[in-house]
Amino acid sequence: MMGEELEAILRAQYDGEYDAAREARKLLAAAERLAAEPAERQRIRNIVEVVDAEIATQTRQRARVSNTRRAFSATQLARVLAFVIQRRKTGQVWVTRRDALSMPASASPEPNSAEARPIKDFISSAIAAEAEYAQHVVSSAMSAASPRAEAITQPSSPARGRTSARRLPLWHPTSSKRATNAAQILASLGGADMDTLARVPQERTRFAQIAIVLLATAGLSAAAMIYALHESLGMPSLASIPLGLVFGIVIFSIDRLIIPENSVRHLMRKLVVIIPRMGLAVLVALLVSTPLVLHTFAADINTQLRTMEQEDSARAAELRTVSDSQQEQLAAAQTQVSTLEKQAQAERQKVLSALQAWNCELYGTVTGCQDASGLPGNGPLAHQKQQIYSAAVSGYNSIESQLNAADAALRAAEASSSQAQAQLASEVQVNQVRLDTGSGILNQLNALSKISAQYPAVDTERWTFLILFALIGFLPVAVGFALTRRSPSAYDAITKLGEEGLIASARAEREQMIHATEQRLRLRAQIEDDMRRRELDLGKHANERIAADMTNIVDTALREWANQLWAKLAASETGKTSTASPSPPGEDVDP
Amino acid sequence: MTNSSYGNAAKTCSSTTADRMVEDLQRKYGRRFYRLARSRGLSDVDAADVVQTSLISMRQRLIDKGPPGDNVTYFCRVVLNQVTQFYRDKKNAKEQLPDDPDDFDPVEPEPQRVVAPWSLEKRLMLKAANLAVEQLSQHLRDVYELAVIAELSPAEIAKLLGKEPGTVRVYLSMARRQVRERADELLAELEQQRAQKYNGEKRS
Repeated sequence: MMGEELEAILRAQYDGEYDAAREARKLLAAAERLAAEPAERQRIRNIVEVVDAEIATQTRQRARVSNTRRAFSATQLARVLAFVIQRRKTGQVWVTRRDALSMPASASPEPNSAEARPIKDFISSAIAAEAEYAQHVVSSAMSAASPRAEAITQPSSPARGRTSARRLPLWHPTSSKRATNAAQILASLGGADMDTLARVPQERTRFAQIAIVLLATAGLSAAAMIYALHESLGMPSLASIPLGLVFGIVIFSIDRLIIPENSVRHLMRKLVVIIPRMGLAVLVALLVSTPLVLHTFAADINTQLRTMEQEDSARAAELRTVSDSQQEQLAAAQTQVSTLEKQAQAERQKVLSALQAWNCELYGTVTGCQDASGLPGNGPLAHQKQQIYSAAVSGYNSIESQLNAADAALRAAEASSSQAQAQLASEVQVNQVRLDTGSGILNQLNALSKISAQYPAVDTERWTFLILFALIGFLPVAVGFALTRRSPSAYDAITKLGEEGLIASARAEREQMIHATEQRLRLRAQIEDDMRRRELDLGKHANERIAADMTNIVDTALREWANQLWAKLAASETGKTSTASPSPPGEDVDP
Repeated sequence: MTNSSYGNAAKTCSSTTADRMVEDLQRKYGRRFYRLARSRGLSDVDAADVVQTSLISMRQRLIDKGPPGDNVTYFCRVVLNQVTQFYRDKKNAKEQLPDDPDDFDPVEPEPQRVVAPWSLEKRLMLKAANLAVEQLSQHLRDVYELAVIAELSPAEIAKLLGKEPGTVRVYLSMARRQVRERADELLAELEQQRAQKYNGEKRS
């Protein structure tokens, strides 16, 4: 709803039946009646008296307020001036507004009293002599902008020349000026709008404190990153410091963004910003706390590392001994197997020879048979040869079983030997890696874990560091919450008004632009209407002129035609009657 | 009617001059202050009476004591005083009830709000606007009504209320913004209620 439309509606509802002319007539009648009715006249006079009394009361109140303000200002001025004089007498040149106002009331005379006059005279002469100095003192002292002790600017050169020989007080304007500048810079870093802050200087401290919190968090993050890059990744300092600083600036920017976002009332929007920041804070805390814990327990960790090395060496030696014994067993088994194999071969040959001899005796074959009788049949010789064969087979079977046992023993020895070899190799490799890395983070963490298993206090220390740094990381979030909880300050109100003003001005500009465009379009439409109307008028005018000209032409042509006709008629009539003459053309002629 | 038109001198006026000045006041400001009186809850007739009495009082003031510092603010002050007096009289009349109840009609006619046959949309807007004005804080509401209903300038309002013109401008700006925003919200709510009611009736 537009404002003007709304106000017009509000007005229109009360317009009612007010007829100004009728009311004027009634007014005249009432005025005349008033003269005839003294009671009514008195009533009206009473009304006037009451209203006049109201006005007089209001005027008196305003005058009283104004006088109080003036009196208060004058009293303040007198106090300040008296205090300046007092300070100058004691050799202290600089004075703050707080000092002046905290002066006991008894020390300040009434502004218009007789006591105050010499002070005023003195100050007048002082102002004449040290115009710039006195102006600074009075203007600073009377400044109501800040409740804090405002720094009084340094006096001009003549005053400084005189005061140079004197002892300067502890509080000095130069240092205060520097402090103010530092506070301004800090406030700017804390996210303050400097234009608004200039109007509400009380808020400078708050923004400076916010900036300190932000800088602490960002500095911690930067240090953690530098340490991590340098120690863990082995990056040189020249590379790790700039990278760490960049990381710190990023953290600072995020925190600076978080603080105003935190003051937003929407929970979801708040969480979207806060949760990642808290995760980051935990990571940074881990990053910072771990090296610090390692550094804290460095001596214990080194001892533990040495112990672990010794344990590893002992274990490797043990494994090597086991491996050697396994090798020896394996060699013995191999020897036994090869011996048994040779014996088995010989026994096998014996079995074959006995079998052939037995066959020779059974079938009486002579060819290829030695010591055979040559008589076929299962005689006593055949039985004898059979017994020899059976003895050879049993001998072979005995050797074969021994060989199988020895072979199994050999395989077992081989397996255990290879296992021992593998264990030894892996242990040797681990030891080698540990020796190569020396006191690396992993070794240190490993050692720390072993120490913490023995001593639970180490774990407590680790958690304490982690929680401490996490809390430092949460500080911006906490500050944001604190800002949400407090009531809006003058700075907030001015900022909000400024934003609203910007929005309103942008809206007004837009409306103005729309209005201007509408005006242009309306103007163009009016011009076009005007052009059309003029064209119409011009056409009408031309038509009128043409019609008039045509009328003249037609009149002239008709007149000519009539003349000619009359001439012809006259000529024909002349032949008949010479006495008759025609009427002149254009007169009394009705063509 | 300003100071410059009649001067600040506290000399009395003749009845003719007073009549002319009052007539001028009535022509220029009569309707505005009639609206103001009606906005304070007075009926059509009562508001006209209050304006009439105020004009007569103004005339008497001119005749007896000469023109005041500012005729418009003085006239406005008289009107406001008369509105207050009207309610005071009404309250006294209620307190002094007659013994015989038949002689007294306790049901007084409510102030009639004459509203032109407006469209539904306009009526809703009016309702929203009135509610928004009612929700203003008192100091903002005073300034807003004087500026919008009585169409007084910030300087005149400042004189009337005994404030600085800058303060009045700030108040007025705040009040206008609050009324506009609140009226928009209320209008949306009213339209929604209306739509719900319409849908309910349609279903039934």
